[in-house]
Amino acid sequence: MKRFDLETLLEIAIFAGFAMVIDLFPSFKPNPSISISFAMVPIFIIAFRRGFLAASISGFLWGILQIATGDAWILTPTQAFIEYFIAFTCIGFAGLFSNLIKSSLKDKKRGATFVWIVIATFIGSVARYFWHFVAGVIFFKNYAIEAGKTPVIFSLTMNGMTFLGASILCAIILVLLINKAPQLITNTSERRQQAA
Amino acid sequence: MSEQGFLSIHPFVQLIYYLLISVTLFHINHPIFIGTSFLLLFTIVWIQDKGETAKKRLLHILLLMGLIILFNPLFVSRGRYILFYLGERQITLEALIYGISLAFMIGGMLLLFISFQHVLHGQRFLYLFANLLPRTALLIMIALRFVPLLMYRLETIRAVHRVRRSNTTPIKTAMFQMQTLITWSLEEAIKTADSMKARGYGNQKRTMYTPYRMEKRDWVVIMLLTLLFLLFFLGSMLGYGNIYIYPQLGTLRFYPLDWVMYIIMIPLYLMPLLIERSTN
Amino acid sequence: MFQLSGLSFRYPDMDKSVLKQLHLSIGEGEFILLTGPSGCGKTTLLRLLTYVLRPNGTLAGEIFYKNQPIHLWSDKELTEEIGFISQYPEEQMVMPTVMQELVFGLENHGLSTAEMRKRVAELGHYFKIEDLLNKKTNALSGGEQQLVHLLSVLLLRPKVLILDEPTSQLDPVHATLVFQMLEQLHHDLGMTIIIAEHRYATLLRMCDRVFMLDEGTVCFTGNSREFLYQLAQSQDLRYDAYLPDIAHLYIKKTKQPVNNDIPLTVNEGRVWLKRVLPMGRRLQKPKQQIKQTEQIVSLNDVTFYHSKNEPSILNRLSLTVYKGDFYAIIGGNASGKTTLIEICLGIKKPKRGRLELFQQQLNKKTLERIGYLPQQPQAFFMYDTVEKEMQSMLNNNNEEIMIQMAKHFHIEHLLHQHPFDCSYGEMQRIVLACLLLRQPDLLFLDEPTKGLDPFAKDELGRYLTALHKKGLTIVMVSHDIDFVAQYSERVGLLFDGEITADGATKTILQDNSFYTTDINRAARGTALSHVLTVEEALQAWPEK
Ligand SMILES: Nc1ncnc2c1ncn2[C@@H]1O[C@H](COP(=O)(O)OP(=O)(O)OP(=O)(O)O)[C@@H](O)[C@H]1O
Ligand SMILES: Nc1ncnc2c1ncn2[C@@H]1O[C@H](COP(=O)(O)OP(=O)(O)OP(=O)(O)O)[C@@H](O)[C@H]1O
Ligand SMILES: [Mg+2]
Ligand SMILES: [Mg+2]
Repeated sequence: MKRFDLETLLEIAIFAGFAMVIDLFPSFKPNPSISISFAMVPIFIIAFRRGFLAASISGFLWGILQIATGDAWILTPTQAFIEYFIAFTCIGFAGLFSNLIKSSLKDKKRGATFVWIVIATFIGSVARYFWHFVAGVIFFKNYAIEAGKTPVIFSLTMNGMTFLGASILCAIILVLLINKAPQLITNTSERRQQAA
Repeated sequence: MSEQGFLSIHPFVQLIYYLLISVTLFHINHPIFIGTSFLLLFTIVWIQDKGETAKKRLLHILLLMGLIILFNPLFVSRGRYILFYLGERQITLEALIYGISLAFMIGGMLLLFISFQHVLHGQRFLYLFANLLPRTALLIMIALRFVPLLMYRLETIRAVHRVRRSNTTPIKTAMFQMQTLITWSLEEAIKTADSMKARGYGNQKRTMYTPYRMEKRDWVVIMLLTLLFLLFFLGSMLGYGNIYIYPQLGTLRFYPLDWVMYIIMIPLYLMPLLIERSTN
Repeated sequence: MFQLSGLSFRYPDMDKSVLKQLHLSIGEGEFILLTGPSGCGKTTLLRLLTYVLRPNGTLAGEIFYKNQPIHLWSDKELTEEIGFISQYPEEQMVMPTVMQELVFGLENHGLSTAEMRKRVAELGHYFKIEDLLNKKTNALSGGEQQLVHLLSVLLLRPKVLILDEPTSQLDPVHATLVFQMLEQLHHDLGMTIIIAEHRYATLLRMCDRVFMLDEGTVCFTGNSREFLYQLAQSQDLRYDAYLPDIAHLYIKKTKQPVNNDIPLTVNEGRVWLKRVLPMGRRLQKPKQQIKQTEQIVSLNDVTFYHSKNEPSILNRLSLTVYKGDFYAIIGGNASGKTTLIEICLGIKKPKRGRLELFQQQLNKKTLERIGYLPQQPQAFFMYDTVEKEMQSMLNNNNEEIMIQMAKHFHIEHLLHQHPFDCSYGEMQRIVLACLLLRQPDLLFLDEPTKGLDPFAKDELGRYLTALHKKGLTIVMVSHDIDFVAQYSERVGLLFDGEITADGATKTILQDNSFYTTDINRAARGTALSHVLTVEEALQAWPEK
């Protein structure tokens, strides 16, 4: 974390807090284990703004925040570790596209920007929900059901549906938001310099 | 600090309690033992938060337990005593007992974590966490402040916007609100950074203010916990509190030492409530 | 301590320098008051003095701290020696609870827990903030935040204390407490204090020297009396607003004011008034009937609390505002004034009781008729230039009106700036200008004078009065008793969750010890014992 200046660190904290806030909104919950919300949006924004590492830390903070505030749904230590430490951190992978998105924004290539945003969102979500899927499999395998493909299929459908819903929702919101306010991604100091 | 009872003891002691209990949960499988632990933990959770989360989550927990009890015998056909056949599958007593014991163990775990989150959240959790990763803990604290702050701001922004622009679509309005909130927060990051710098952040190694002190009482609790736990653990290593399930169900009988363990278990689990009693 | 030689500063995106060729020196242990119109560069100067917080931009000239160029000092040394209290307390909070916030700086300085406890106990006792320690920082009222921020810096025991409008949101009682403490720090510990303030009447007694900035240069300087004298002699009428009320009255009423005689404190004012005025009887308080027209805001038995186990903030509060009222709500910090307004706007929902606006339940239609200035103006902004903000408020793309409004609030030079880059007072004026473009029927203002300089404040007051005459209903929360006394017609005192006193401004404000104006306090026992403001005093002045 030494690599970041204080301002970036604070942004990381703010966006993690922001994700928590959105999580508290009513979201679309067809059943208890599927809840489609756009809480990942802030982490994606910091991913586009500041890249992979910042976003990973932000996601990591989000995960721990949920435990710290007593919001987490902990079944076993392993499950908690995978779902709250690893999965959320992996959203940061969306940050790998940060430069692509920024440069296409700069060149005013709208189409390209949006395509990259959608791809980045998709990758970040895959990285996250893969771990939820793994946690589900391990949980069911270890404890409830010993044999067969059932846990895999079960976990896959549950997490797959949540993943699809959440990533599509996030992608739509991000595209709308960044279309309206690209300055959210190009960072503040750059904004100051542009005006000069 | 105005907190009393178990909430007022040192977080480190609380952590020890939860660690020890989670270990014991893994080391017993006698239905009576595991059933009793479930009931004890349930009592603790119920008393600790006056049934609030327990009510909300109890249904989930019971459902999960029911599923496990149902599915284990359906999917596992190991064991000698065959109760009946369901189509091709044999339903065995062993699998049923295993399912029950497993269900109560998982149920107990879930309750334990509910209690854990009730006791060790916020500052106490972060205090423990800060011993591991001080810089991250600081960031979490900062983020923690933003959660209610951003909510409140969103409310203000909504009100201001309701007043200021009435002629746009709901989606557009929502986007505007998000945008204002984010822009405001980003500007704020700069100012908060200034505030931290002005108060000397980053110039030298930080110390940490600890509102917690290990007192005599905390040491007593630690000793008691360890003592009870060691006795209990020894017993479980010797096979008490446990039964053979696979390949063939052993006896469920309680030997004298089983009774001793059973009696040790009760104060071990109920330590939070005992502390509550003794401090009042 | 400090020496500035030829200091100039320009922000990157501005074509004019904010500070121009400043030459000044500040001695060790001096108490300096800095004042000047909003946007003149006070904050910029103070931040340059801290050096750690210097803004981005081009700097020319040199700053010396203890005879050494300031950039040769390390950040560590500077932060240990110089404490900075910012104009935006709400943005200075870092930690979730007050206790953590207070010790944050101490932790950075590597102190032990025992030492931290000791320091917090000592200062906390002085300001009686024991109740606040376990509160969440985001749940503090504006004034409480300011106090906590102040304490968090004082705990560091700096040698130099730089304060940027530290009392803008404090009630008169707390403001007095803070000033007293500054005086004590200055006297007993020899702390160097540099403070920027718009409401400086009380400070004049304690400060050693005053600097007034305008357009980036020092226009007046000297000790308090010399400063007031220069102000009075100046031809520029704008500066009249900067004279504290008592001094203002003195200068108006004395043919040949002598610099040594200008009364600085209420006490000196009283001596002078006793000398020149005949004794007065205690007047019967004038009974003023409140004109009861159409009800615009009506709250009935409203109770509000954040959670059941905390005391109620509002307790069976009833309040009616009639069409054409100019209603001011005053009351201590954390008494629930902001909460009251937020309830009126539906931001917070009353737990019990009824609320009606325009004799209807709250709905979209009624909200459209309202203008709202929040305690933090930032909530308002959504575009990246001030111009766009204003355009979005226009009903019929009539840019002419917009330009006029901008001129009126002296913000036309800011139109192309990002709203967040403006000074605090400027933001406040931008929001007001935007609100008024909509021509609302009802205006809620939460601390509208916070951050405004005296001149802008007078202008705002006159402008509001004009609108009010045209039928606008105004509900305002303010700690600025002078402003309330001068412009509002009706005052409600919020205390213990209720409006405990409600009536015509004159009736309510007379004879209080804190919630009244300096003139009123000084004129007790004279023939003018009923007046609140300079204008009233001039009118009622007995002719020989
Ligand atoms: N970051 C910035 N970028 C560009 N211009 C700025 C920036 N900060 C301040 N300014 C401008 O510099 C001028 C001086 O601002 P400053 O905040 O120092 O004023 P001030 O005297 O403290 O005013 P107030 O009494 O309202 O606080 C203002 O006109 C403001 O618009
Ligand atoms: N979200 C919240 N949760 C809990 N308490 C709160 C919250 N917001 C405000 N309070 C408390 O409510 C009380 C009233 O706050 P409010 O902001 O209305 O005060 P105020 O009269 O506007 O004070 P000031 O003049 O200092 O701005 C304060 O004691 C404050 O600590
Ligand atoms: Mg300023
Ligand atoms: Mg307030």
